[in-house]
Amino acid sequence: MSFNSLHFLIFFPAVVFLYYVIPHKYRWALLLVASYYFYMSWEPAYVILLAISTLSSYLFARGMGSARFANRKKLFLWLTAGVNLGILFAFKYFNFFKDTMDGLMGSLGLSNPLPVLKVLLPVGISFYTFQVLSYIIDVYRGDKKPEKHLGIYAAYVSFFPQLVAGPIERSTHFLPQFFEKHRFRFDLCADGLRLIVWGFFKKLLIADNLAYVVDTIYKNPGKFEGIHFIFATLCFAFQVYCDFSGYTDIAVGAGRVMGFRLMTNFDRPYFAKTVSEFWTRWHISLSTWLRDYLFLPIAYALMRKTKRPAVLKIKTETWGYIGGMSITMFLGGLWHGAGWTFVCWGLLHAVYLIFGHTTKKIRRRIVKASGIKKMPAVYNFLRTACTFSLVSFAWIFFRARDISDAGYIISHIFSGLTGFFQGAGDFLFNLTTETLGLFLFNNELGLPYVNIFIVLLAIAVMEAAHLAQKNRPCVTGVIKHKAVWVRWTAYYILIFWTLVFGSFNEQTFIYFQF
Amino acid sequence: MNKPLSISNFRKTAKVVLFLLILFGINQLLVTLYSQMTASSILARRDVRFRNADKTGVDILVLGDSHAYSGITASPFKTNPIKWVAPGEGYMLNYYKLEYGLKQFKPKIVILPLDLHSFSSVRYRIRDDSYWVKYADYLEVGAVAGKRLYYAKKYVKGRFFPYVGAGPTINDWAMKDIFKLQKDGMMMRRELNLKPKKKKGRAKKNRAKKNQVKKSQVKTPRQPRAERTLAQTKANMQFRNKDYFHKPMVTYFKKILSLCRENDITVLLVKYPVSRDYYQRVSELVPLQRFNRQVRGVLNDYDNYFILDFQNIFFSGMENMRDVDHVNKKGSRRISRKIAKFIEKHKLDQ
Repeated sequence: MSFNSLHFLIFFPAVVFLYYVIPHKYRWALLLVASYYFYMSWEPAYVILLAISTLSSYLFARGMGSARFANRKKLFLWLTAGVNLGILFAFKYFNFFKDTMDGLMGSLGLSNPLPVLKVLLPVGISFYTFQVLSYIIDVYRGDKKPEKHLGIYAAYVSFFPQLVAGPIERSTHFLPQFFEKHRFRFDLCADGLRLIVWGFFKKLLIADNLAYVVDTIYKNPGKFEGIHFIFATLCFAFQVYCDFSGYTDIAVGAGRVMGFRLMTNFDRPYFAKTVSEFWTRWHISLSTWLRDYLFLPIAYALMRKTKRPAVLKIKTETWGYIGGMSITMFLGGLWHGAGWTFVCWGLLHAVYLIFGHTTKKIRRRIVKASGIKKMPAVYNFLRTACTFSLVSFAWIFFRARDISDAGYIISHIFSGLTGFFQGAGDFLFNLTTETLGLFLFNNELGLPYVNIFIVLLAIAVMEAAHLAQKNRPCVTGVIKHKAVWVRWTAYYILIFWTLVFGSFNEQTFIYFQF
Repeated sequence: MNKPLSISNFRKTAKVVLFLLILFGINQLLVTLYSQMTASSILARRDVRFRNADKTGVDILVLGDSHAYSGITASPFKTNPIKWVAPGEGYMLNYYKLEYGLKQFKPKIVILPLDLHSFSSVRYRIRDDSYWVKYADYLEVGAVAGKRLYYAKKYVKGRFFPYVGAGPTINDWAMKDIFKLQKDGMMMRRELNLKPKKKKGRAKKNRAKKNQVKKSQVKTPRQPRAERTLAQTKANMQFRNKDYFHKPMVTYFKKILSLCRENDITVLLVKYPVSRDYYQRVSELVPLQRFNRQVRGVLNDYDNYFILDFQNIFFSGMENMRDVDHVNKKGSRRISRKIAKFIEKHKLDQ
């Protein structure tokens, strides 16, 4: 059951109604049943994996809580990690591992005895696995006491709005909310519904329409030229953002209607001025997870192991950063998908981040010498544009079917540009009603240009809202305190614009596959 | 303490109600606009002859899809015919049109296609729900196909939210009514990577000038390879589900024949002409002997029909064909004359 299905439009109001009708002490049970039903609507069998993940982490955390010795605690930590990462590996990475082994052993003239696992990837497995791991690590570190109530813990792991695509909630923030007595609050409900409408606007109108263009070009790169690749990559940058942040908005909104406060997952990432800032704004729940549970421990461990203050005239801290970042981004890329394209995407971001970190001083000097800082608007715009270009370039690896496709697209990204500009000039000089009509309804990119313009307008509206958002934590803050006629006009425009020009083919969310 | 709280609650409730009322109002406005300007206008163009006809003395009702649309011309018929056809309509939609039509007039003859693709599952579809909710019984359509929920959803959408996801329909409307462009031909040519259609007159004139002959002596060169490609593409499209004898289609075919029998109507089952290339491609996709046996099996239960087979009459050339499975005006006149003669010969209109 996807958020953009009719099924969910019936399911969600029914759950909300029951949630406020039944007494507080039974609400966890309702949420648990609703969440398992929600998950089972994809593939009933995979609910077993969710149950195993929940039960193992619950039991080992309890064991950890009652263990007296550090070694025992560590054992429980490794057991939980082993069970959950084992499931993740078997269902998500086994075939990738097998293919890689095939290639390696084939090059040595050996055959690989490993069989192919013919299983579907369980929806959202990476999300709930990371959520469970964060819980067990928090318990291990003593940041959180083991949860005693199995039902409430299970409801925390499987909470349906964020089960399949996050945000990856921390137990310290989210678990206590299940014990709070949520009363129906009009303002929270209205705020949640605002976010849901905004999320659908991003998903159905922008992301799903852009998907046609991106799919058409990325499926057959040989048929297209440089300008198409540039356009498709920019489209994908907005598609993936609107798809994922749209999902998050709906999830956060749905949680808010029921009185839950899910964490912010996106903070206008394409306004970031550096790549490292981008990662504090993009998929925040994952990036903070990676920072807290991977990057910092690895970086500190590397620094501890190197006892000298500098190696090869480079500070030990820098080596720690380079090592920690490379491993974290490698695993972060792999988390997104079992494929080398995702690994390349992660490593490319690692290169950006390491380059940014190591050249900070030099860049500062260049900026100072150029005097561009005296024009802050221009300076900030250039930084944002540069960061957006780098991030968009990396999306090529994320979206391409394989490395060779990505290579083809990158090597042809500037091909045929002269021809394009000449053609555009000819078109404008010979513009008639017929040529304009033929152009507007031309479907060569998978979506008529007239619809592409409508989507571009929607993107402009979205970015205008982001600009107006300034330091507010949520986009709904832009409109919340305006006069009623302004608010309502905005709501009606968003709702009916989405309804008329949205894509209603129930396309799944991109991040479901992760 | 309670008083201000209750006023606040009343205000909130009133606001919510007002918001929803405006929402429903806009929804209704869009439903009306959509029905008037887009979907209905496109379909109404196809219905225009039906709507303008004097239905009191109708003797012949022509039903079917684009084959009937291009294949039947009214002029050769001595009796009063109504062509109520639209491209893409299969037996299921034909049945509901017939049922609706019989409430308004009582024809003596119904002309129905019996083409190679007539029973294909591809034709078991309703595209423009806002138009068809008037005619079709969606619950029945769903029950016959075993897809009750799917068709119930379609009914709700067609009845209350037809404009949802209507971008493509609005494009069609804008394309045809504002820019005066014909989508199908244009798109088909682009998909097949064919050269754009040149204006015949000018091309002929240029060739006549070049060869120093009269314009009437110049023949338009044919594109045999393109026709073959088109034949293959169209045939593949019609049988893409590989279900050439779809059970729900058979059910509706039987329902049409039964309804006609109950109303003493003779059914003329017309096999419209196709090109040789198209026929050959279909014969690769469909076991034709088996298919014909299956059709005969269905028809055995009825006696109120005649089959007029024109399938191969234009195999020799494309002079009478617009494309691989549609006749042109010339072909249409020839077929219509033949049908009119048949009716006259058998005195079916009396």
